[in-house]
Amino acid sequence: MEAHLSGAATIDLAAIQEQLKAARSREGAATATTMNFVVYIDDRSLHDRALERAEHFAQKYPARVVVLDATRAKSADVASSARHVTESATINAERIELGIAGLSPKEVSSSINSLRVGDIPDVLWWTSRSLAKAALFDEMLPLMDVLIVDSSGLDLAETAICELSAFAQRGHPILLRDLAYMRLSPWQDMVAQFFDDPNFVNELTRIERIEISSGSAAEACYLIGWLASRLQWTPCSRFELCDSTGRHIRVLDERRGEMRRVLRVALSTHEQTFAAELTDSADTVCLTVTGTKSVAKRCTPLHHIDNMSLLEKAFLFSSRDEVFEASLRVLCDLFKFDR
Amino acid sequence: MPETATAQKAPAAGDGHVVNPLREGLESDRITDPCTIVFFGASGDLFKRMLLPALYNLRLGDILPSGFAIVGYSRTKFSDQQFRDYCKLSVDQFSRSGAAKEPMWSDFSERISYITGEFTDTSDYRQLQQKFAENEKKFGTKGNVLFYLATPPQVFPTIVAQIKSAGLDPPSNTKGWTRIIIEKPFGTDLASARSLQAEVEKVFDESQVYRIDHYLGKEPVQDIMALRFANMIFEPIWNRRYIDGVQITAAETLGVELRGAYYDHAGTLRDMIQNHVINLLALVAMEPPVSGDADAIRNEKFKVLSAIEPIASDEVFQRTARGQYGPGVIDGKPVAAYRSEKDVAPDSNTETYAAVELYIDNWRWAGVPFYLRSGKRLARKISEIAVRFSAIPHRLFGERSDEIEANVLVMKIEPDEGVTLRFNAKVPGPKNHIRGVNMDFNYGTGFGIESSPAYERLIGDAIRGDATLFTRWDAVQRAWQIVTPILETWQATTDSSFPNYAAGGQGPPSADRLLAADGHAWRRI
Repeated sequence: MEAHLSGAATIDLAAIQEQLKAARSREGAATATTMNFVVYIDDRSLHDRALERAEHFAQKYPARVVVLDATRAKSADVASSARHVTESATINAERIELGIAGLSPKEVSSSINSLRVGDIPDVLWWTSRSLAKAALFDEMLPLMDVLIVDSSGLDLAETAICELSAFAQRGHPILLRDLAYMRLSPWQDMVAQFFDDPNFVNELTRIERIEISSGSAAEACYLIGWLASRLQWTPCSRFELCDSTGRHIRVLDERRGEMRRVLRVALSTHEQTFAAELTDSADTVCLTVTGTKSVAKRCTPLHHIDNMSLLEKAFLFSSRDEVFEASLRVLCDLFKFDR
Repeated sequence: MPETATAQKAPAAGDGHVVNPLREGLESDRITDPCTIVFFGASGDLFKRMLLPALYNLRLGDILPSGFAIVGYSRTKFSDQQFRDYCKLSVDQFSRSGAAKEPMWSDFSERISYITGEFTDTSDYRQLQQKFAENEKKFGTKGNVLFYLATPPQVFPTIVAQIKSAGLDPPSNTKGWTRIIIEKPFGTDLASARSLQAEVEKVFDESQVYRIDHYLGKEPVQDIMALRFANMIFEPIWNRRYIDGVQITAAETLGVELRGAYYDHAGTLRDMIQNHVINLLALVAMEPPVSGDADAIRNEKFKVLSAIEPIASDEVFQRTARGQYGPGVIDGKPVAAYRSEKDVAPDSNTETYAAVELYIDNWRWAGVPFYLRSGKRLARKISEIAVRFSAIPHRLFGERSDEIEANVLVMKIEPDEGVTLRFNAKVPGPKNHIRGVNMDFNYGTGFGIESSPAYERLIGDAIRGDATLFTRWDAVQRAWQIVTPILETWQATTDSSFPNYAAGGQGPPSADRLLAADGHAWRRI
């Protein structure tokens, strides 16, 4: 079912509700909606891709998707589709696309409030390049439980990361998720794997050099921030970190390959190099330890880094990510040094 | 600056073991304990269809430890490479993730090796020592060994004894841990279970034994504990004051397929009730454990089973019902009678349906009937636990209050995993008509996550050393004690009514009479 409800002087919320109600009653059986998923778009070029992901997401996790399109004048489109998953359960995927150009932040947040299903989590996916400056952003925050952003691929990844750090320090109860950081999760795990071996854990105190090759800056930044926050390293120049004894760790950061993808991470001591490198298959990473104590090469699958999986993870884990926030803080200190 | 003198120290845990600081806050399901897994019966169907695909998917999910190796042991002659090829075919055919793909398959398969060996020949077992040493050197398995008995159960005692004779038992392994997974059935009756346990005890401590019942690895079974103990609303009414009865059903549409020879000696009571169904009863009825620790949970399961008084021999026919399917129709297709199945005796007295009424003699459950049933060739495949609450104490809605249904909470294990609460609501209109309605939670729609197959979860748990979902000997023994009087009585008497239910039906009429005597009725399958 699809309906275009634009043309009115204001967005006719009652008409939208009526459309949704009619679609639900047509299904007859019990339906399920597990979250309100609000997507904010202010770049027309991102529109179709964001919408496609939101649709996919809503098919898997029954959601009421509300798309706030700041590139379109006041308008509303309602679409609803149903999928029977069991004899007694029907997944209702509902999408309301609102053109919000020209509406005040208060009008938008009030519309969201009217359209959301009560007593289920509210998730905001903020696709804007400007992460935290918009008045609408502040207006929406009290309505939301989870805020998802993606600082990867932005021209100003450093600015974005510092904006997020400032936001995290405001102590807002909303759960903050950056897809760029979450995308690194398998890489973090692979790097940690090297040092699960008791023979190597002490090598962490002897790291002299970190090399990262990635397609965009945010991933490299976050890996550095994560390592520094875990190993109590502090920035001592734009390209160097220092441990608590004052020893310097040099950072080599190379832009190579596809956006949002890490190709290689290597940590080196004087005697050993621990490297994780993407293979040609693009979904497998091989781990090697070379130097005085070498171990057999091991390959490991690189999965769950697509945006769908990350979006799922973003709301399925319902606690604050303190390691992420600590990484943000270290990075902001690092960015204070000029290049 | 000389590094050795000034380098900062990696943090140490209280036991002096150095902690990997990169692990803090990291979400990872990967098992960190390395090991070699030895599969006895590696050329068998269970290994091919379930166990190897489970291991491969654990590897794909990056859950297996970095240092792991697999050794197949069986009488079938294979070289290492032939066995790897056999394993690849098994993955290609049965893995839920599809055919094996490079480079992961090569990485996985180079860790697989094979020993052609007799189960009775100690010298064949000794070859395992060399494999362990090779795996330790090549893959860093650190001396940890997990044995998996995937053979026919008759060979279990022999393998356990040979493990000791070949010096592969836990005390002989000074480098790491040694554990054993034992497939079900653990014995065919109380005596044989005790005899097997006696052999196991000679070699393994109970903490090293993992008796697997794959049913317990199913996600909805694990959710029973979450439903009961992660919610405040159920526990206060989870007792004899508010609950009228509990029905546990494990119904199948399948017949005995190719297992006629086994099944005709086993029957439903041994095959399903003694293990799967009684385990479900324990989860539903046990007291809240003091912690999530494996033994805390298993203590409570044993306690509740201990409170079940086995049915006295002279009451067996009043409190049980047995059935055997005749010909019938399932899913629109005619199916043969049990006695016409391959490898089944034409005059077989084996039950393909069992229903049992049990009572738990404790403060919480005294007087509440627990009705257990399981059968083959029934109308639908359903596994569920239905908790039926007591009738309302006071009539508020005039004459029609007689029609008010009891509330029922149904934990659905398969299919459509989830939870349904049936409660009453007023039918819209001027009259006070009340009707039952369902409130449904469905795993598929609620989480959208595909749950891991039971074997993946359970093998992973055994490597981790988490025995929560495995059955402890005291519970196994108690379950046999509960079913033994029934087994003995049924074996001693031929049921002349067999076959007494049509394939595709609800079971034998005697099962309906069993509940009708208490004013209850089975939920429709």
